[in-house]
Order: sequence, then structure tokens, then C-alpha cells
Amino acid sequence: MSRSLDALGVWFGFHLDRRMRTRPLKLWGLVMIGVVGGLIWAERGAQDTLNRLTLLILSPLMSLTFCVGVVREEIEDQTLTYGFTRPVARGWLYVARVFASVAPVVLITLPAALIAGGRLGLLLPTAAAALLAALAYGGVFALVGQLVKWPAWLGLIFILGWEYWVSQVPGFLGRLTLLSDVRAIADLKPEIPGLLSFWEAPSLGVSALRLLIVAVVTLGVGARLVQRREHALSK
Amino acid sequence: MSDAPLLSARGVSKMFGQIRALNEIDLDIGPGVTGLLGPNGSGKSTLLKLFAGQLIPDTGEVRLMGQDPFRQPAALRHLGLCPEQDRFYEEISARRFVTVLTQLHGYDHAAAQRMADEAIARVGMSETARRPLGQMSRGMRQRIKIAQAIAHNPPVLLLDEPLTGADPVARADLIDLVRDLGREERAVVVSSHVLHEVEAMTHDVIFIRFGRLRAQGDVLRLRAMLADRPYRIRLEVDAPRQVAALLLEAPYLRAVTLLSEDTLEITTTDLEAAAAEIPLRLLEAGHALRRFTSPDADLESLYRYLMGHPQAQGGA
Repeated sequence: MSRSLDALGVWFGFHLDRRMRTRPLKLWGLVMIGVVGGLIWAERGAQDTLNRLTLLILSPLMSLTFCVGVVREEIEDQTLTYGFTRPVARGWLYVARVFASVAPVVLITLPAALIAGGRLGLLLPTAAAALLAALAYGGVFALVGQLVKWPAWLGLIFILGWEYWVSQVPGFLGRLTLLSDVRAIADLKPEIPGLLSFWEAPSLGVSALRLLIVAVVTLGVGARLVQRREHALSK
Repeated sequence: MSDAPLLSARGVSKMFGQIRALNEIDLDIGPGVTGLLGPNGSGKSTLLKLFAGQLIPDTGEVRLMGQDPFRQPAALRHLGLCPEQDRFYEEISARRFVTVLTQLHGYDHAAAQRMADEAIARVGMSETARRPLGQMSRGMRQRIKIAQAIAHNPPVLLLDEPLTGADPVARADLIDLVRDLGREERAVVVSSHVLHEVEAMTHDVIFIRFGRLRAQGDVLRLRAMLADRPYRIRLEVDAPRQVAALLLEAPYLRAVTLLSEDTLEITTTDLEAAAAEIPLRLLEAGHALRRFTSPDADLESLYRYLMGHPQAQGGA
């Protein structure tokens, strides 16, 4: 176990280092700086808008961008062999790779969310929302990336077609989304005015636990899939 | 070291859809260099991937130092793999690449870096090891692939086309390196299409064709087993007609042909006896033997007989 954790740390550090050099990350960083700067410049009341944009739209989109291809990228780049022929359970290497993809999402969204969170009492919940959202979405998209052929399109439909809109719907349906929990933790009420009066936020603890469970379960299932599948590269 | 084979396959078959890549393979591989030979699509790479724990056999079992390499990843600590594809984490320096992969074998950073530096020095890349892999030539990258395979000092090495892209000097260096690695009591399996390079590394070979094991063993012994295919021996001598007359009575001789003013070709079924007796007979008769060669006793001819002619059944 300790050796596996050491390997996880090594592989996480290696892939985080690689990830920090990639163009998509730099691009997302610039987008975020632009958004933060623009909104702060425009008006102080824009903090709430920025917080919503960061946690409800950009965080899931970035998780999709970075996590959906953790296995696929290595297969396409034909680098999978190097890690998977080492004496480490492949599942641990997968988890390390997902964490290395989630970390930049947190690095970008956390400062923005903290700036936007504004009120002192909301700093901790906002930070928790940014971290748990990145972990849960990262786990989900990394798993989807292993299971379906066009994961990026499916992910986009999921974020913009399901998560964002349905998370505002009160009751059971809304609870089926991850974003309803992010909203509950960061205290972000629905954007659709008509639904505002029906909004009943789940408790902060339950929402945090649900996101954590989603992250753990999807990572576990993804790791198990990687562990059991053949991953040879064709010529 | 125990007598147990470092690598073994028992009744191993592997299908990809409707295609049978390997069919009932049984083999053991021990210390030393072993050449894995066969045409494209013969199943060489599939066999290496099975040994490297990247694939699961449909039937039978593969063992790496007695362990299942797919289900027991710990077995992979015994393995070093130089894959065929020329693909890397391009933006990373060669030194960091080898160090990180060595760390995955359970070494701390300092130890892994030292081992990586030693491996990189062994493949002659110390001076350029800090350069990103994306800025290296194919031959340099090939050496780094070998360095990451040997850095953790594994007893089993699988080298898939290890000389691809290397210039002639590098090829010679790498051939020496492979021979040295084989002398260190490791099992070094070299898959290659280039027969003369394999021949320069080893005389122990495995032939695979259509997913079946055609033959395994020492080149000369395998050749000797092909009794229906006599050897041709070319002799460069001072007086070929007289030499031909002298040799006609030899029991191992089947035919003699005069090729040129100074070259004679004889056909024999017993290369060993011919090689032992002919020089002595000529010496005794006062003839000068300038050259003694057999175009049928090398790896290429064996390959041609075993793989090029479907009727040749050379299972050993």
C-alpha cells in the first residue's frame, strides 16, 4: 500500500508537471484571468456572476477538457506502455493521472472562486465547492472517457444541457445533478427567477458528502476498469 | 539462480477478433540473448506484450519469473521493456523520463536518479540526457528507450526492434550492449526483422510464423535438424579440379560443382564432418585453402528454410 501510494505520488507529480506545460491549461488560465479582470473592472456586484461562471460553468468544462482523455491520450500518444509495464497496479497510475488532471482545474478555479466568493463567511464553502466539484467532475469524466467513443461531446451535453439547467429545478430531479450540490455548498441560488422561490438547498454537509462519494466511486470504478482491461498499443 | 525459466508460455493462444495471433505456444526462455524472429504479423509483438503483462492469453498461461505478469503487477519489477514505437513524453528531459520510470520500481528519487544516470551512461547518452526527448534524433531516443528498460537492473529484458533508427556506429554499440546484457545472466529477448543484427547478438533463436512456434534453439543445431536440406560449402583453393578429385571419395559428400577457376562448391549432409576433415585433407595433400564458407549454415538460410518454405517443418 505504501509503495502504491509512493508510486501514485511520483506519477501524479510527473503528470502534473506535464499538464502545467500544456496549451489548454495556459489557454484556460488566460480565459480565467480575462474573466476575473473584466468583471472586477466592470463592477463590484459582478462577484456573484463571476462565482457562478467559475463554479457552475468553467469548472465542469475544465474538468471535461483535462480529465476525459486521461487513458485515451496515453493510448493515442502511445506512451501507455511506459507506466503500465511497471510493478504498480494500473489502477493507482490511473488515479494519479486523474488527480494530475484535476489539480490544474483547482489551481485555476480556486483563486477565481475565492476572489468572487467575496464575503468572508463564504470563503471556505467556496473553496470546498471548487475542490469537490473538480474532483467529482474529474472522476465522472475520466470514467466516461473510458466507456464511450465520443466522450467530449457527451460531456458538453451533460454540462450545458443537463447539469446547468436541471440543477436549478427544485425537488428530486434537481438533486440528480452534481451542480445542485455545488450550488448548495457555495450558496449559489438558481439563475431562473421563477424557480428562486422554490429553491430549497440541500444541507452543506450532505452535498459535500455526495460530491465526495461520486468522486470516490467514479475513481474506483475507473481504476478497476483500467486494472482489468488489456491496454496494449497497436502498431 | 534456479533452473526455472525466466520466461515461460504454456499452451498460449491469443485471438484478436477473428484473427488468431498466437496458437498454442509452448516455450521457455532462460538467461542469455534470444532472438525472436518472424515476418510481420507473425505474433512476435503479441508474445512480447503477453510477457509484459499488457495482454491476457485467451488460453494457456504466461509466466514472468514464475508469476502472472497481468494479474500480479509486482512481477513486472523483474522486467525491462523497450517498446517498438518511437513515442515519448516529448517535453520531458531524457534524464527525468528515465528517473521517474525507475522511481515507479520503488526507488526513492536520489537512488532512481543515480540508477538512471548509470543506465544513460551505459547507452552513451550522458552528455545529452538533459535535453527534452522531443529534441532528440530517432537513434538517441532509441538509446533512451533502452536506458529506461535497463535502469532498474531487471533480470528479464524484452527489446522490440531495439536498433530501429540507430546509425551504424550506434548499431554496433547497441549490439555490444545487448551481448553484454545477455552475459549478465539476464534473459534478453530481442525481436527484430534484421537477421544479420540478430545473428551478431546471439545464436539462440525462436521462429514464429502465423502465430505458431516453428522452432527454438541454437541456429546451427536447428540447421542440422533439417536433414532434407544439404549444406553447400564453398572452397576457394589453388587447384579446384584436383581438390574435387581428392574429395570425391569422402562419405559425407553428395556433389561437387566447379564454380570458377579457383572456387569449388560441394554439397554435404554433414557440415560438422566436412568442416573438420576438408581442411586437414587439403593440408595433407599440399593444397592451399584460402576460404571455407557455407551459405546455408547461417541464420538467414535457416530463416528462409523455416519461414519461406511452408513445407519445411522445423519444430524443435
